[in-house]
Amino acid sequence: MSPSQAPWPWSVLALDGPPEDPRDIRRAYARKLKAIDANTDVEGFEKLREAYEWARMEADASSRDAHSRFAPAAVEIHQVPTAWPEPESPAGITASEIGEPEAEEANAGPWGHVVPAGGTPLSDVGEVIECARNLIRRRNWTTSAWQALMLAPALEDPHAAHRLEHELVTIFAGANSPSQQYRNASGVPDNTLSAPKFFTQEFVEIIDHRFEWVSDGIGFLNRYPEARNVQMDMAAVSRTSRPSRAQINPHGKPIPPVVWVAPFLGWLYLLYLLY
Amino acid sequence: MVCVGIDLGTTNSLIAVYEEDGPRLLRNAIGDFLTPSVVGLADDKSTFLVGKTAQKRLIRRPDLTKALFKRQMGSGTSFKLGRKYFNATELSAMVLSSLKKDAEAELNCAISEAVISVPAYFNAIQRQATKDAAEIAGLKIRRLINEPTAAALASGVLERAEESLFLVLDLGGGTFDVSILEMFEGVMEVRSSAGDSFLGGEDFTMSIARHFSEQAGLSWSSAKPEEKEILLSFAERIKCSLTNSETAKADLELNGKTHHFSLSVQKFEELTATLLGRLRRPIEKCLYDSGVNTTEIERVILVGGATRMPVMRSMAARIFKKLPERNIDPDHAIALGAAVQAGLIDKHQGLKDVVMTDVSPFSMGIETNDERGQSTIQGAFAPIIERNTILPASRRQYFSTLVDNQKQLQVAIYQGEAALARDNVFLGSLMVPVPPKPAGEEYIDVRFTYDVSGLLVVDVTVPSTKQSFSEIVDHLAEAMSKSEKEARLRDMEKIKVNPRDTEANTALMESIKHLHEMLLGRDREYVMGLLGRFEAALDTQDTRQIESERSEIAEILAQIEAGYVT
Repeated sequence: MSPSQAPWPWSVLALDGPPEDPRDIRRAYARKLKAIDANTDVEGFEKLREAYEWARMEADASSRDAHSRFAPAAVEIHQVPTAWPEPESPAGITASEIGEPEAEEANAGPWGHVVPAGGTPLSDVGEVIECARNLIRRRNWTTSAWQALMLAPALEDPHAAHRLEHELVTIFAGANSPSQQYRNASGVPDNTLSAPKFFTQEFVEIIDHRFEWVSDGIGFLNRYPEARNVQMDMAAVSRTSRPSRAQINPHGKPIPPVVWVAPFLGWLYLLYLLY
Repeated sequence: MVCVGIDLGTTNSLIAVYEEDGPRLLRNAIGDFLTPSVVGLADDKSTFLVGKTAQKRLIRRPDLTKALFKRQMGSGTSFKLGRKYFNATELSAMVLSSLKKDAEAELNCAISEAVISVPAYFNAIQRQATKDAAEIAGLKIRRLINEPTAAALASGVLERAEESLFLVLDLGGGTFDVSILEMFEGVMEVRSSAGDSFLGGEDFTMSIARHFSEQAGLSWSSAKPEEKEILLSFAERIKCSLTNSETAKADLELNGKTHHFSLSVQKFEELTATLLGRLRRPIEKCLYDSGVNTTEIERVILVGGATRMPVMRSMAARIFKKLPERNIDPDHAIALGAAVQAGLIDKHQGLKDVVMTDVSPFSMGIETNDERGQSTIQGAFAPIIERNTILPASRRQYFSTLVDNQKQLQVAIYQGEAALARDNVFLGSLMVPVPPKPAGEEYIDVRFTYDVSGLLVVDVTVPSTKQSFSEIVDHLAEAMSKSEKEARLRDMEKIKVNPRDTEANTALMESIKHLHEMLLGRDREYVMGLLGRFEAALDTQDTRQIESERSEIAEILAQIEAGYVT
């Protein structure tokens, strides 16, 4: 089959069909890209790009069955467990899944040591998640406890951080929906925990600094499309006072002196009228 | 016509040009590649000083000197310098103008076009302010290039043959950027970028300075500007010396009292744990947006002066389980990359086979009312071009009317990542009339086209009436108007700048005085002697003698500085 007869997307890349070596897709794309001027030919670029991305996706799909992108893909709220596991048995967390943090610790040796956060060397993501669950259960936590948790060495691994984020979203999303109450350790529904009540300003700020659920709302909704309620509740809290991170103030021009003089002129005019 | 590449940094700025054998950095009037991004007034309060001369005056005349203004780019903040106020755009323009003169002197031709680098995370307002600064300095911007992209371009062009997927960590003086790039067959494709525009090496220096001021029993917030600058300058040296030793110690005189300060690497890591923690999020975001796993990253490249910190290197090594590389001087990479981009724009022969594609660093979309079930979210942000979309891109979405007999739809254009439109940067708006019909029956087709030069075109079509409306967002409401810029350009030509030929002498004098402030006892007296010696040489007005004295004294100063922190 000649390239012109090949089906889309291969035809756009001037390929006969899926190549043996997936790298040939990149090479074909490179050839085509150099032939056009992407700066001026937006439409031509869009067409080429679409075909290229599709072709890569197809090649990826055939080379491996499952697309293992970033540990647990999107959170599925309807799968929230009805009862939380006992603290002793954090379900589903095995060392192999999180990239064997113990081994990582050993590897870090020659390049420097891990800074202990607040004295608790949380080197295992399972411990971190357990610690977060305990803090939520206890509810009389201090801000510094959460801050220390967020700086845990284990969370340096993007994988691990994603696991914790996933866990937190699941808890808050579940807690907020009336049908799936947050349950305490003994499995009894806990009616007192509702996400909006739990979200104090400090808590929202800590979470937002670490995971940007509010400030990167678009990213959050891409990751957890079902957890919009969590985000709206958080946004409502952070709205009352903006996070302390420096904000760009486009309108804050220096006030011209005239503004300061104006009230005086007004008073003078009043005095003039009186006399 | 030569197009130069400029790295307008928070701490230092550089200028480079693309030539036959690749990008080349250009030296400033005192022979350095790095021009500190510091602007000040001389003691006569009318002559402007830029670069090292100004930087060395920071601790003695903080009222007449300004640094770190890049962080206020595009904000309304103004800085008092002598009797007048200047905003970050104007101060940046002075740095750019100084770089321009340096390049003109070295290349012996007039320069009017440039590629300037900006942090990937700069928003539309900050980018516009950078463009304005260039125009005030008499430079036409051919392109703004994202800093990590520039850094990657520099390293990529140097090793053109290789096929790889790599990650660039760029920790500069004031900003942090992460980019993931794929390189193959001469194509440099940025897959994603993320960053924090308020996190940089200066923040690490600041945490050391605060720690020392606490030790000295001085509250940072109530410290005088002079004291703050001395502590910062001191902390900077301690920080640098910690890059190759386990502990650093030195003495400093504050308010007539001598303090013995020392800092270990471990204590430094404790002090900066929060800052280091902030490096994590952009890395995660960048990986997530590109769909790349840590294990797939083949190489990790460090760029930006602050990546010299060992903590930064070990953190990168832990996350990616491989030793990070530095194939170019981390201070030079961005300027060299900007020059490569300038070469690409000029269609330089040496870059015939190189194509670079970048991504949109932010999402762009419109304000909508989002109806889901019974609840409506008012003012929700609907992104049309999402961040990390490869550019140029053209995307469309449909939006329908919300109420019965709605006569018009307001298309308010925003840029940002917040879920609510009003928390993002407003770019412009369009009013689109539609025929009255029951709610949801009438709809509009909104198309966003964003190109590599940062030009956003919004096209709205009403299918039922076949009417089209268009809005070009290339200039923000907050930006300076044309006449305003012209006026500033004229002002710029009028201001008195320290002449280039005496710059080296002025810089040396200021360096001696700076060191005098920092040193104690006998060392201080010795440095005072150097000042007298150089003044005597200047009095002879014999260029050759001045030059020989200058290089000799500069060497002595360098030695004193090196031995100052142990």
